[in-house]
Amino acid sequence: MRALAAATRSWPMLAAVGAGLVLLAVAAGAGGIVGPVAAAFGVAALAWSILALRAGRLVAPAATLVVGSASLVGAGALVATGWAGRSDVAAGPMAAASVFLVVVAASCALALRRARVTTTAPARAARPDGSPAAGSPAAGFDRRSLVGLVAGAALVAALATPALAATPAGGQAVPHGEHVEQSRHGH
Amino acid sequence: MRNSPNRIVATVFGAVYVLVGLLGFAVTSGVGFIATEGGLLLGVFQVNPLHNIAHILIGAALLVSGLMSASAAKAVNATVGAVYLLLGIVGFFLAGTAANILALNTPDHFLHLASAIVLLGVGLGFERSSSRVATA
Repeated sequence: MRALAAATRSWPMLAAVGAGLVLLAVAAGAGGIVGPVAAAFGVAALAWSILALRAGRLVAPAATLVVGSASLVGAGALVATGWAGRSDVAAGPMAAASVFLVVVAASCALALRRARVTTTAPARAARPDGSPAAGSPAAGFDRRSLVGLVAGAALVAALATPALAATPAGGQAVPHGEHVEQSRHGH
Repeated sequence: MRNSPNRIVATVFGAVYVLVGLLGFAVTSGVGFIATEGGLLLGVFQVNPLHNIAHILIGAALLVSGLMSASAAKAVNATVGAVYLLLGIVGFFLAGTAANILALNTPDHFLHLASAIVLLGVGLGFERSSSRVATA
């Protein structure tokens, strides 16, 4: 269990990177108010991931949980009301961004729960921020953290790449090998 | 070296990127320097000579920093990771314009995104107090 915790410690930060990238790609092609809002959430997700990676812990978990939950509700409402279609927002990228946001929000919720346990039974609990000196030179180098980081990056890339390709911006990015085909069809 | 995750990642990624850059020239003979029709490296990744040179330069920077010291490796990892991510983000907003430089296939995007996240993650998340990190 401890090995799994060490390996997955950086995953919320990596998920925030994935959410930020997908939301920015969605924003690049979205019309109306959805574009600026998605861009703001995307920039916030990327900024939070960088701050959290630098700090080695989940930064401001309560505020992050609120913002993450709000963005999930917003994404759901966007799809449920049909506004997503009117704003040129594809469901696939929104679903991928939501998966990333769920990981971030759930991690923050767990960190807050641990913090509550710590105040009632400090001896039995882990650190309140859920990051027992990860990456700290004084604690030595935990190889499981590095392996977890590489695995997490591969997972995020595996989910984010097709999601990015499904956005209008990704669709306009001309891949190698398809120029001749596209010009023949007049696109 | 074995006690520094930044040096390990910089050295391994650097060596792989240099190797990929050199191997790329084997599949890009006759391909224009910035041609949008490139050769398939390992049957998957599409490259042209400019792409190969970029791989070699990035790989060399990572490899040299990884062999030098933990602080150098940390700085180069974070910088290369951030630049990769930034280029990706800028690319979305340039899509469909004459300035679009995302002439890459999906496996390329996957590899670049995964590399960016690993490099940025290890550069920012490990060895945060570089003064106390052993460089040997």
